[in-house]
Amino acid sequence: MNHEQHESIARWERRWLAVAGFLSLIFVMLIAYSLATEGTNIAQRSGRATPEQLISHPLFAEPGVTVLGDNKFQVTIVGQTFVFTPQDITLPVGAEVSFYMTSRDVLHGYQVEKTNINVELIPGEIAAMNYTFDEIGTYRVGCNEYCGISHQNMLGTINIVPASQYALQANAQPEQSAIPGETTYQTNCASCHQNSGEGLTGAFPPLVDHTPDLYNADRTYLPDLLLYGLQGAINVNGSNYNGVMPAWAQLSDQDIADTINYILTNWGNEEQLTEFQPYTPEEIQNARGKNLTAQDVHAHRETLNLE
Amino acid sequence: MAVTSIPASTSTTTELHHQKRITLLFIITGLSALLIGALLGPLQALNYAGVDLYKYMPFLQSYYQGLTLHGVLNALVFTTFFISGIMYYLPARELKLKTNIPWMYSSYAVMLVGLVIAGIAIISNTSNVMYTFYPPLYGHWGFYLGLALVVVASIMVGIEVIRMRQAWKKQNPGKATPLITFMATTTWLMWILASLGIVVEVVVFLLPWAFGLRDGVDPQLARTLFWYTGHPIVYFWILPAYISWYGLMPKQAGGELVSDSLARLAFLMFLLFSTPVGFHHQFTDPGIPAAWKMVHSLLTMFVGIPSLLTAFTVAASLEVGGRRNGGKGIIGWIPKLPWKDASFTSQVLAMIAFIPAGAGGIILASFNLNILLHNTAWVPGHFHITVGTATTLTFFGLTFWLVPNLTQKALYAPRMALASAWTWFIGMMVFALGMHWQGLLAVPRRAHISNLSEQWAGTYANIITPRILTGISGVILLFAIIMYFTVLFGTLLSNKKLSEANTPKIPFANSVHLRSEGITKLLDSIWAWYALAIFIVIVAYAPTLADMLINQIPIPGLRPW
Repeated sequence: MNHEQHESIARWERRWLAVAGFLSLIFVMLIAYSLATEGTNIAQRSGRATPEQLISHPLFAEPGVTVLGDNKFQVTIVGQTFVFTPQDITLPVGAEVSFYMTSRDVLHGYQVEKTNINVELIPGEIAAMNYTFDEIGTYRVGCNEYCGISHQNMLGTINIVPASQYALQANAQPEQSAIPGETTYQTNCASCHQNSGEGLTGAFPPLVDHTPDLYNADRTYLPDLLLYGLQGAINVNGSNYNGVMPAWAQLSDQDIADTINYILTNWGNEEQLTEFQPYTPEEIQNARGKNLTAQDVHAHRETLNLE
Repeated sequence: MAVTSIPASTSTTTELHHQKRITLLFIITGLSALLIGALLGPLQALNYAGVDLYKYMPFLQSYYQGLTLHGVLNALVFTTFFISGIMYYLPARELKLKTNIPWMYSSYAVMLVGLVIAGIAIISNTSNVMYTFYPPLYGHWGFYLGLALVVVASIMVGIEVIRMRQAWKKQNPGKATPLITFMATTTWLMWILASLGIVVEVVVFLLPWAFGLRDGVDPQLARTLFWYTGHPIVYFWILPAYISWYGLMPKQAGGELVSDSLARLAFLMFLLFSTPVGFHHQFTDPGIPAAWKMVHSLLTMFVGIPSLLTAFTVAASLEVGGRRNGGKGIIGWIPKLPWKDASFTSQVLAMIAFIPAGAGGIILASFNLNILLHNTAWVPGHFHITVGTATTLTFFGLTFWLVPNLTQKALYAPRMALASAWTWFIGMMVFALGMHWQGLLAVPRRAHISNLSEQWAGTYANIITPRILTGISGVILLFAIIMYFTVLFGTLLSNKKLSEANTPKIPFANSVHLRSEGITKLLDSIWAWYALAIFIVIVAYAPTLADMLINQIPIPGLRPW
């Protein structure tokens, strides 16, 4: 290569470097500008809490929407395999929302399509961010951090409705199934055990044709299972399951009792029960004092002599 | 294990024989892992198109197990093995020094044992934790131990290369390190500094936890340690490709490297800025202060500059080749490049893929834009044209001369080799289009969306075109995989021995020294630059990490699969 050719390349090289440096500078300035103007959309730590503390935490004991006044709302969300609580949220257009979010078990991601809401839910961390919903519509919510076998079903919606419609809805009773326990089941349990308790082969055991055996073997087992979860390999009707059942202690005594009763008295399960007495909230409350672990529940299950 | 000092002297025939065998072991093991990992890819692409083939795969328990296998084998195992092979062989041949053969065989053995242990853990369905293995997802101890051994073995290779450079410097006082050895040494030094995060995460936290000696791990701390390594690892993947682009391809194009010192400058910038940028993977994490996220975002923009530099220098070097072959005019040199050479073409296609990939990376690294795209399908779309194309297709291109060089066998079906490169390139571009597009529509990554429960069955029904594009790309890539591995194994199993004269040589390129001796000397002060790199890392990480280490909230493990 001759000298002239070289000089020419070196000249263009300097220009290119200058452009590259200038571009980077522009990018940094644009980022800084957007953070200065819309920085509150970024999730920040507002505190810390262990998963055990959530049950009595002022923000997360009863996750959901709280009206703060004048179209201002507080929304608290807890992620847990494989459901967000609350799953569906309705707010009026223009709602200025302060979000607080955390996770009860593994990592989850809370993302709302078409918005700047995208937060890692990390157990131990409470994330806070603000967002104003300016457009009416139904927004898909999805978990975007892999959290286990049913990660794809960890979904939800945010409905932004006209203010007039919101006022009507706020006064109306929330849409509840007439059957006690059904709504709780569909919201919290169906993403794994499916709508009619049929389970998912290899991942989640069926509740049909199985839960009655547990009830018949030992009445105290099912409340413990819901309150403390289960961890360890189990065999149900010839199939092996090696997953986990999370604890559902954050549900009310009434909801837990209703849900167990619902499972035991539907899908043909009712025919396999011997002498069925529905569970009562008091029974659930009494079981809360035991302080078991998910492994303890597994050990209890082993003693049940299921065939 | 101390590095034994071996008297530096010109290597003998046995030495060369062992060097070739070690290199071949590393790259063939890596490529075999890639074969298994890549064959799972089309299943995942079809999943995004709504086609669920997992129920027909008796050896896989779930989509998530398959995805863990795919990610670990391709992104961690293939890359580390292959890079350890070439980043040992190229400097060793450039310096023509004796290397520590037993040490190198040991490093291969350690890496292989790691691969086997981690592989068993994944196959046993106990470790469906993805290649990011965020706690409290609770993998089997074998998973963490295996991966740790792979990383440790790669560091052993790096230590040997650094030792080789020191030995050469001693023999050649006052001379600047030869270019490829310079680039390989800075890359290894960067990797040794960068791998510290994963090593601490695994050895101090995850392994004791997996053995039951710890009750839990703080997930925010673990994520931070992971991404301390998790971003620079992408430079560990791409810099070996740059070494080929700078140091070998100009020769293959018939030209020469137009600026030796700019190539060195680019690698020093990577040494300085590759590591202190991990928070740009954690913009949506609550536990990291926004100011530090901004600092990492800024540093990430700096690390874009050496890549832009590379684009210029490499393109100019190829242009010199095209003009020497008779090309005229502004673009007339392009058709004069050796497009029929599968090795050359693979690597040019790799470079072309890196243009949109780099742009997409700058978007992801921008604090504000990242919020829209974090953990969406955009992310796998992005890294399949970085590591999945820029790196992988360059490595394919390398094998087209390297495997004949190592085995003294002719490349099997050179036209199929060329076709495999084009097919891979087209498949990955279609994949990237589909995935980037879905990312903009907030479709999550790593989701078994072809198997939604009844309640959510129609969730993505209105997103059609990009999902179909992703599905089609999986089929295109399946053909590319079949063609590439036919060429590879065809070459390895062929009986056609090449004569010494016909065996491809390593295409070391000539380079031009534009700068004065003083600057060359300054650039060659690797240890001073390394000290500066460590200093920047400490500034960027120490305050946040110290706070996290002091205030840990351990969370117990869970296996929700």
